[in-house]
Amino acid sequence: MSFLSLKNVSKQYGDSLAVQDFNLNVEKGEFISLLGPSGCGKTTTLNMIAGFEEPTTGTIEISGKDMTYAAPNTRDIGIVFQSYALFPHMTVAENVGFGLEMRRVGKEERRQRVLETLELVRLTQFADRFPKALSGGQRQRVALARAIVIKPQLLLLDEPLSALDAKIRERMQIELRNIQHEVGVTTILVTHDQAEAMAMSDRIAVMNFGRMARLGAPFEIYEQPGDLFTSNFLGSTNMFDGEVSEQAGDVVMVNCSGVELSVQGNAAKGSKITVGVRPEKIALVEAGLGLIDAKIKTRIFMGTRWAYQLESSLGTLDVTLQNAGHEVAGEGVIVGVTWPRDAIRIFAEG
Amino acid sequence: MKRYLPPYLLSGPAVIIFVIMLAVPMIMTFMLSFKSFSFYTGITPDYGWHNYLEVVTDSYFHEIFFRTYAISIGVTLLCALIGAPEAYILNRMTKAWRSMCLLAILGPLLISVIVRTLGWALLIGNNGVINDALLLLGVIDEPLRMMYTTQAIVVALVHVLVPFMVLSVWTTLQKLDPQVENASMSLGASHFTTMYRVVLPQIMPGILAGSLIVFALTASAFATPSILGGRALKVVATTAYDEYLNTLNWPLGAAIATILLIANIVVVMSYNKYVEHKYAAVFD
Repeated sequence: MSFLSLKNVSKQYGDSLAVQDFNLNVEKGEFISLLGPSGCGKTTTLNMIAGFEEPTTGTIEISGKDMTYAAPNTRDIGIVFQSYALFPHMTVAENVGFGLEMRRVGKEERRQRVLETLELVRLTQFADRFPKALSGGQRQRVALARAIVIKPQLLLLDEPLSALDAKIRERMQIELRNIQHEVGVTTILVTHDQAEAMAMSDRIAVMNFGRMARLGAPFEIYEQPGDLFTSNFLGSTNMFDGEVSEQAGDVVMVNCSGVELSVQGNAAKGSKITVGVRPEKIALVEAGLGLIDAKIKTRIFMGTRWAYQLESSLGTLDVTLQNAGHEVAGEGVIVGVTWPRDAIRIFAEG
Repeated sequence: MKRYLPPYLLSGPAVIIFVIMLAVPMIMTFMLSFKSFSFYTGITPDYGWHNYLEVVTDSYFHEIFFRTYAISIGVTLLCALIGAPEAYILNRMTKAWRSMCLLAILGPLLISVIVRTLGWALLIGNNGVINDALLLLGVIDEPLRMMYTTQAIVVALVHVLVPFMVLSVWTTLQKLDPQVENASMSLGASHFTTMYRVVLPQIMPGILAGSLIVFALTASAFATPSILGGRALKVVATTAYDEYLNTLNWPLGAAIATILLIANIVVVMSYNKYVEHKYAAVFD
């Protein structure tokens, strides 16, 4: 019995389906991300879990109870909103204490718990400030404190870090993750940022056009994305269209624009397929020693890595190399390109 | 041309018009209020505080000032009670409905106050639509007296001034993060608590600003009280008018006008100061 389960949930607005036939089971204490581009239905799904919207069909159960149509104030869910939605007329302590007040927690206990939670998010000295006087990161932590102080059975995070700048965002990712571990609350994060989803979640549900495209642990779905959309959404992929020219065991030979590539997997001979390999799986070797030769069109230094664009008979290739501390081949040079055979994957439809 | 000249030249025409149209008449009124008047000699330039003393000591004027400010407070409260929920509902409507309702709310502003007030007179007069209808239906035996009552003035002024409250509250509502209501609900608050503890305090600056406009406009309102209140229910503005044009005691009328102006400025300024002080820490 899962802690939270969405069964065949759909949401229709007029003629358009925002969420279609969505199924998801979340275990207690788990951190799950709903990942997808804007308009993929992830926020709608979150709103249905929170109770701000009702599903057109399907059911939502929280710890075994049908909560599909329950009012939001009866669901015992903590939510961190994208805009934080702090109460500007209340101090930090009053903001955080609001949920406890609604639960009729006594004054002394309320003060105690607000203090503890503010300590957890390291905002103790800001207790008497108004939200206006806080920075973005601090407001974000107030929003988090307000959501977890009520010890909700479920914590929903709606793009909680999108308003922060890159540096603070990375720090907050780690901090959020640590706090979630410490509190142990079941958490659902909605985000369009794949790095954020991968950094924080136990499992990721990739969504596209209102449907679940892929569900799994971050490493698993990154390495075995299953479809083109997931593969491209989680990271970039070099794609080649080709035709299966030979099949032997679990290895097929694919003819892509005249280049024979050997790929692990199954596909009928003569079928048109697409294969893909991630930029970081490709290695550059001396010309003639690789699978094919390619000419370096651009080379960009990114600090931790080099980003290349190569011209080859397969088309344009994106390659990233770890910066190992020494100079690497520059623009205009002809190099050999190679990758391990299990790094290239078949994506079903050609 | 010197560097500092253009700003003065550009604002010059407006300043000249302002001085001629507003400052000069006001100063002249102020000067006039210290002159004397008698029926035989007319206005004479013996300056003194006697006009002000008369207004301050005569209970006839006390009653008028009291009535004026009682009406102002009543109208302001009613406008807040009607206008704030109206703005909130308006804000939650779909676009099409909102434009229609906005038109209905702002429509009255397009009609002259006199015409609108005469409309009320037609409606509530002894032979007005309401009385005729009630008599016809047999609900009452003789016409209800609605004209020349304080209530009539209040209702008509609320009708005129409620758009100002709606617009003022609506402006603050647009700055309200639509998610705060959801946040409040998710924390366990009921709809009522959310309204009372989360939404209302945030639109309070709008309500207070709207109140200021409504209060100031009511306290200096002339047309509506003069038509619906008549001679029996004078307010300060109509009294000043009568002193000028009926008793021809211009100095006394000027003194009344000056007191009304100063009282309004004092109320508005101290109120503004209070609001600013109260919300400075909270809102931008």
